Amino acid sequence: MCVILLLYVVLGSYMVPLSPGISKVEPLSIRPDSIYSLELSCYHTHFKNPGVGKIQFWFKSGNDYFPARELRILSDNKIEAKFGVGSLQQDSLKSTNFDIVGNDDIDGTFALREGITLIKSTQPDSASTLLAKTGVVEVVHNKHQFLAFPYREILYESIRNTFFHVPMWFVMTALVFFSLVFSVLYLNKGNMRYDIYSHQSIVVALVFGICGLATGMVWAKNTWGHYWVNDPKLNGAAVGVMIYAAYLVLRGSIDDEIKRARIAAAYNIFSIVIFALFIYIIPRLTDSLHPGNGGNPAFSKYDLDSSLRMFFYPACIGWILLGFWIFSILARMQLIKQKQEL
Amino acid sequence: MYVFSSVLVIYFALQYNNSIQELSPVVWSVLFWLIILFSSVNAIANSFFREPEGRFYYYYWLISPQALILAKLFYNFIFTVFLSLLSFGIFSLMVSNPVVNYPVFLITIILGGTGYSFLFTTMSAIASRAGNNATLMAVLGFPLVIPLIIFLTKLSAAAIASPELTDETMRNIMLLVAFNIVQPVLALILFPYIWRD
Repeated sequence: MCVILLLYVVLGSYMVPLSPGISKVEPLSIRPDSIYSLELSCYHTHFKNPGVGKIQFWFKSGNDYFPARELRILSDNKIEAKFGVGSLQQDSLKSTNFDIVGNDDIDGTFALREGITLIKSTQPDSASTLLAKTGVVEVVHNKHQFLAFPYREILYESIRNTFFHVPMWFVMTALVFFSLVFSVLYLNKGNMRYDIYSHQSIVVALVFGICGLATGMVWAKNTWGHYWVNDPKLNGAAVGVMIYAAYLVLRGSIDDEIKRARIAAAYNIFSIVIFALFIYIIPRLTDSLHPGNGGNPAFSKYDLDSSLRMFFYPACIGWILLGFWIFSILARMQLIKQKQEL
Repeated sequence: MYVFSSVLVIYFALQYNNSIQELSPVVWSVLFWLIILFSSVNAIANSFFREPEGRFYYYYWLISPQALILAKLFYNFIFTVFLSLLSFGIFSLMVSNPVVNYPVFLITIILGGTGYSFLFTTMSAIASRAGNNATLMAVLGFPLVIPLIIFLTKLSAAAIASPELTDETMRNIMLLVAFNIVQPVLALILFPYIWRD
């Protein structure tokens, strides 16, 4: 079951294309009273494809759409658009940052937020006749790709990591709290079976924690520029992994089985308080680069659209099932080992 | 003695290049809390390690484990708070004293000393059962002490920066208080299991 889910997630995350977007504009800023030819580098678009139909580009300021004057297709992903604003017009604009919106029959609508900036001229030229005309937007919603991940600046293709990095931490927290339950049960009942369960779930949680750190580091390198940045969640995760590594060290240093089980359970209960403090309280109090903290948009709001959801929820369930599966194999192995020793 | 010598070490290390005059508040508070951290670890480690083997059996007959851990916690609490105040005194004499807001700083010292003492007393109890290994105590305790240090440096930086009491300072103080209540309660519940042979 969990293998099927994970296969689905892995296949889906690699096969599903990213929806089209605009990645680069040259030049980045324009001045009034002259027409610029802007080179737009797009992503996953099909301008040279015969079925592309009518390609349209608009520059959007506030709620006004200004169509591009002339379009010249350079390649599938490159297009040249001519655009200019008159100096008599500059004060009536709602914003000097223009969003760029593109549309064609194959790729549907795609946009770049605040892609280009107008630098206002201090001496408006009254003789200039140049005016950007407001256009009517006729969007033909004709999306050929029925399934595509959203195109986000900075994230780009690495948005697929959502299915790997995020569930790792879910699994780790789930297993850690699972082991807490067994530690409490052990101290109450004194059955060695509970000690084995709690120990093995910590081992698996640690593996998932390290995987979470590794996937996160790869992601951070691609989006934030460094493998490690000073972020409360990162530091908290590192400390959480350290706490449970210390748990294993503690277990390793006691020879007597029953004493080891009791003391390890006590340490486990003690440390979970601090782990919870790190996971739930400190990231909420401080700014973080992660989504959902310190003013960044939360995950559920609009970061996860329906195409991501289709894979994200199965991914969570799949990884959690995998975690508990590994745990049950390890625990059964330990139980058999224990029986053999007796 | 430990406090005094570590302050001296820091003093001499900083005197090189005359950087002691331009010590920033954050560096000051980090150095200060690190000194207290290491001195309290060393002091508290003794509380369970130094006891001769037979004495625990004697205690075991005499009193309940709760009474023992309460006594240890209380003694270490007094001792660490005293140690922290002493370090503050020596530190301000030898290095510098940039503190503006004394009430907040005193509260921070008391809460910080309490947190250190409670945490390391429990860790020392656990480590002493695992074969009197002082390294183990550091391995167990240091990851757990990091959130405490985060709040302590924030609070002392606030006490250095402004004479006013902000909402954030208040919230950090409340969090430390909660931290300091949870720890002895957990220690009280768990110590009987740790202690029993």
